[in-house]
Amino acid sequence: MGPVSLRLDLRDIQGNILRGYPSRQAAYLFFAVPTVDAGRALLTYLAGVVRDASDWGSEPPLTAVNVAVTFAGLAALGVEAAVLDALPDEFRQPMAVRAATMLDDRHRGAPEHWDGALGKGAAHVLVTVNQTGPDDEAFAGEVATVLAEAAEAGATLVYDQRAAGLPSRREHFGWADGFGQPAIEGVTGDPAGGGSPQADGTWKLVKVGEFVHGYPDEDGLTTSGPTAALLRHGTFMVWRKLHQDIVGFRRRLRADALAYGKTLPDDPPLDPDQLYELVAAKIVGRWRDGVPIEEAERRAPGEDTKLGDAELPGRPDNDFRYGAPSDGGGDLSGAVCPVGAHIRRTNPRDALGWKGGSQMTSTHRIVRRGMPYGDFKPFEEGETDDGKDRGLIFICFNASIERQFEVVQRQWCNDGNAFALGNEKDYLLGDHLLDPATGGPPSESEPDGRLGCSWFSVQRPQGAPFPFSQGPPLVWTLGSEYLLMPGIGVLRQLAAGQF
Amino acid sequence: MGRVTSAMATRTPGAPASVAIRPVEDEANNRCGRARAMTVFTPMRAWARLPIRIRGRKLPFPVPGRLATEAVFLWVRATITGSNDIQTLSFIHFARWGIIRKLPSPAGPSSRLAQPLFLFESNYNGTFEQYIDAFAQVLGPGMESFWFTSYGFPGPLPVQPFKDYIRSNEFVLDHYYLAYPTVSTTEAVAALELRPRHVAFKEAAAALEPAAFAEAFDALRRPPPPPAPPAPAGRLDVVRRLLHEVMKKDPRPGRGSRSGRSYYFTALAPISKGKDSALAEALAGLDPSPFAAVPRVHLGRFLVVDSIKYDWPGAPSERTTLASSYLLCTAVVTADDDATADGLPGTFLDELLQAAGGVAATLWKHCEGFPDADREAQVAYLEKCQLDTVLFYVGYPDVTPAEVRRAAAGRDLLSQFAYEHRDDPPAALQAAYVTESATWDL
Repeated sequence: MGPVSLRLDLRDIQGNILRGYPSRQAAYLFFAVPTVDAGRALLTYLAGVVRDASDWGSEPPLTAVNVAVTFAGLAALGVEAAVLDALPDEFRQPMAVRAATMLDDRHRGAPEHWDGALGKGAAHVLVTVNQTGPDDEAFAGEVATVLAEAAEAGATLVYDQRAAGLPSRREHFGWADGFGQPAIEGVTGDPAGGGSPQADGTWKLVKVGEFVHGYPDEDGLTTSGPTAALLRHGTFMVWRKLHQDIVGFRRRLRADALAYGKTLPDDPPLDPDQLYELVAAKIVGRWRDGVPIEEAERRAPGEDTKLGDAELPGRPDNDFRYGAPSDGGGDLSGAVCPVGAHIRRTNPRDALGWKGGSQMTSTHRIVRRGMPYGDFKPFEEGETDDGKDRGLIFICFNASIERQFEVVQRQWCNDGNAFALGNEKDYLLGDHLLDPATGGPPSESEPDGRLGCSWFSVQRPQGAPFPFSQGPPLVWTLGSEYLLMPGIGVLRQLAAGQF
Repeated sequence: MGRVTSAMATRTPGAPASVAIRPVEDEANNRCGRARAMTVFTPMRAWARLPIRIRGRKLPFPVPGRLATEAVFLWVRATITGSNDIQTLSFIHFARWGIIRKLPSPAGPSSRLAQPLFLFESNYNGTFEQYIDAFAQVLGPGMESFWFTSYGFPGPLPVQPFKDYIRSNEFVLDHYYLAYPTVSTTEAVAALELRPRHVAFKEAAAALEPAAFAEAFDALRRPPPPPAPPAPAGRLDVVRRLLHEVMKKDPRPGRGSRSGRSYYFTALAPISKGKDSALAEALAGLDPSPFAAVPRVHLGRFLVVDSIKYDWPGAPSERTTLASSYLLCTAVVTADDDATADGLPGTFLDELLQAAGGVAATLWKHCEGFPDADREAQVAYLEKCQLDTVLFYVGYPDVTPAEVRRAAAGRDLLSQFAYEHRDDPPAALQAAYVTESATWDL
């Protein structure tokens, strides 16, 4: 931990929110509590084992247990109506309604196709167990204990999801992931790259109140009113099970690389693999080893940016801007990192800058703590379809789901308007309204008869943008919940029926 | 009013039955495709303190609220130039500010307003959260001058109290129609810019050498450089425009509602006693929209206003109690090419009342004193119900809805073509363009 300007009550904040666990695998256990008493009994047990955010010292724990509660869960725990009524609407609204209207979960990702009990109001309490040490058996033991204690308390397991980290911090599309986290006041030392870019060229740490209630946020405000006590030192958690179509992605990437290659000058010549990786880097804004394309427009021939089986060499340098004058005019046009690249959409830094700063972005940051599920499909296997379900358990923490996660997901990833990209969407996450069965033109059009957008503009130093293809969705939702991960004192109070 | 969905759906059999949870207000009616509607009424103070300091001091005396706000907007209308901060935001289709001094009373006495009401309507792309953030950051000082005479206005920054203020004064529409729901403001602007260049290109395409064709095709698709910011209005010009604003003879009511070829029609009509729910039901079942049958309509809205909201900090103690509910109808319409009059585009109300088998007229029949069958009288009634406008912003003035739609469709065709032929050599690209574009109606 670097210099700290603000003292955080780390013993009252749950672990994994402000600093990520070095987790190897995780279990996400969703429980229903049929009675208030069962719910309070479950929380009483959990309050005794929950992991807080304090330093581990020299002995890292083998496992870490954390707890979050849905809105239905708070009602089931007997929280009084005056408090429930004052909670944010996006958290109170049934998840299936919210997802269909505000998150564009449609087609195969529509709530009616979701797994098991997810998003149906049946899940009340989520217990996450992370394996933070080397001992697999300790993890299995911890999960078994939670299941037994929950049963003892009278809770019913309604959904059980497992996830496990892949080598080199990879996610299934093949990128080393998780480097774009916000630099948070009181937690992170150096704001460069992760904080909010300032017009004068410096960076500022993001206020901790953007992620944990009970501290000042970017507006200088601290949560007040009827919900302040319930939210104290808690955070809102977004949990989404996202299926990834790896084969579809690899096919699309290859087609784009072939076409794009024909338009590039022959100097220096790129072999097919380099071209493939260049296109991958353009789509995401990072090479597959996590290095931002803004930091390295081209990689050395023969450099294994895909990593293969190699270990990640270290954290990439994340200290860059899109409009930085120090970079010789910056890249506001997107000639290096396309304006619609994934990391530029999800964290536009200074690219939406009003007068070069981050006023339009600093209140829309999220902390991501996702983990892949399913086996990695080795690069060598190419485009053969093995029919396996694999994807990401997407988790993020934020003080306001509507202001933070939903803006990133819906306005920045699934629309191009904020970036003057029309109705272009994120290459990986966008819901492109094409026919999922054929990949051809859409079988249904937008309400005004207009076709869905099926291209992704890759800006170039000269000439018009080159269009990459966008087909049917490569990622779709299999389940989602919005939860409150309460402060530890609040967890005890909930267990004691004090709300 | 607006419909409401129940949060009780989240309740499972295990949840205690005694908890009666406030339902989540369904905002679906505030959305149409990628557009969102905002409608905010705020009561205005009789006397207000200016938000500015002169030589470090606040003025020692308050200024008359409504007159001060009217002066602010007069100044804005006289000094606004082609490009401005609202355009920087680039996601506003249409916005309108108005002051209601008296509720329209086309038939008999009307409810007395305890204070004048400031009405703000916006139609934008994106979410409430993003919109208010951007609005407060970019237009902060301007907003201060627009709203400082409204009770309870907390100032634009910090944003959260301002959001809470807007939320607690906001209404959810009962009906919302946009002629091109998936075309965003920036797309409309870009497509309208592209269209004449594309038409010219298409004319010339077949005759070009392949290499020249490829170059011109690339240039066509290249975003044009942003227009240079226009010079601020000169002093003389401002004086001239101020004079014009003061002297101009607007038809009343509805004055100030014209901007270029666009007219922002707003009518507030009293609903007959006991007809509220029947009207709300009729509005809920309004499909297709009657506005869709009137080609000159960009945007149409209906809202049943059953009360003025006061449930927020700083609300005045003297409150307006509406004697009846009111039906607010808003439409942005294009005047005919040759129209020069500043008033309501002549035939619009007639067209709307006749559209879709006269369904709009059946809605207004729930209103006090709305004539039964005589269309001329019905038009006259609605004209009397009109509200005045103090400022009207259009993202792309002087075009019809059909022109916006056609430009957007043409831009889509070009982009799709460019994608499908992205690695064609020049001769093949040209041949494909000449063949495929033959069927395009640009």
